[in-house]
Amino acid sequence: MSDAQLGWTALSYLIAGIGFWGFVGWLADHWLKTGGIAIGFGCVLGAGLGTYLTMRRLGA
Amino acid sequence: MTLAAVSGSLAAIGYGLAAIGPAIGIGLIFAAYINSTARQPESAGLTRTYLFLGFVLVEALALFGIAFGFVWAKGS
Amino acid sequence: MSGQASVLAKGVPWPPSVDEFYLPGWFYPWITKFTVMVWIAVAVVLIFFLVSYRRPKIVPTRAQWLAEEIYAFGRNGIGHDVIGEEGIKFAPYITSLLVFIGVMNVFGILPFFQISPDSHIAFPAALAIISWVLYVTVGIRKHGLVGYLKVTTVPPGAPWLLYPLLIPLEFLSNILVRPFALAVRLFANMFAGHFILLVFTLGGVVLLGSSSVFLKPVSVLSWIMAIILTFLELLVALLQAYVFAILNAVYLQSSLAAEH
Repeated sequence: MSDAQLGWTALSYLIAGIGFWGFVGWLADHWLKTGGIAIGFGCVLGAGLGTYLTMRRLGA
Repeated sequence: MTLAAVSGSLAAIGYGLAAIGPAIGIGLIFAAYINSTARQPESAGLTRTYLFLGFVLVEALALFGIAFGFVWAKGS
Repeated sequence: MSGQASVLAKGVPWPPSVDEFYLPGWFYPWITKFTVMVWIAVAVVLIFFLVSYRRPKIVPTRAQWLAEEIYAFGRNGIGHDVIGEEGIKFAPYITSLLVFIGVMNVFGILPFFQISPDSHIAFPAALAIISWVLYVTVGIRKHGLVGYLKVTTVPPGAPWLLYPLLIPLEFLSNILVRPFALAVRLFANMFAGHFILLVFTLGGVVLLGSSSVFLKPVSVLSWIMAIILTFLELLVALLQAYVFAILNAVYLQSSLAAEH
């Protein structure tokens, strides 16, 4: 995998992690009426999982 | 009966007083570095770490003064 | 202040309110501009080190050389020199702190961002709490809870009559004040730097809009000061990142110090 492709793949893992889990957090917030904190939790969780996935799959 | 009154921001006077100590401290630190480098130029690299460390530790106090000047300012 | 608004471009919100920090739309109020900036900093650091060390060669490419230099600075210059042999274990944490805080501080002078997330107390406070938990845990793991408190609070070589005076002082200074000072040092430096740049830039704009024709050229002086202070701000940004990392190393070294 060329270096530029690697960079875009890593960026896509991070954005997808934040986006997907942030959306899950928004759904949880919409149904549980928690007033928005679930979005925050979802985004942080998604960022952490995206970082972990990047390190696992693409790390040296 | 009030004879005289001074009005204005007390936080400004507080910051002015708080900046005296760190100014003297930073002067002492840099004076020590310049002195030691003048006496033994080979030690300049060794002591540079302590120069930056000391400078930042003393500068932090001056910046506490700026930050707390806003925290404790009384409205106007 | 609203009289000077005619000098600024149309559509610039002046004076700015707290709402300027939030993103428009349904993210309100949980995702602010600072959140996005921190994510961008993390992505930049992660992708740079990942891509440059993907296929390491014996004769390094430029990006690989830069990544190795930065890591060697954190590992040898800070970890090994300050902590000793055990400092190599902490080299990834110290280098991560160095690079992450460096990138976030440099956002303060980068054209589109122009404010560092470290100028709000939350981000340095979080980093300081993580560092505090780390050096206290490392100390307790090495000496045991009572042993760690003894090493930290009892100063060596003092006459034992002074212990009731010195022990609370050392406890306060080593365990309570250190994380607070770490956070406020980083926060105050970034806040003050941003503030000074604002003062000189907006001072130039206000001087340009003044009614007296002799004050208008002074605005050029104000903007030249702003440019000089931007260079100073770059130096302060990188220096603050270096000092946060090296103070972490110093506190880890004092936790790992042998019993005296």
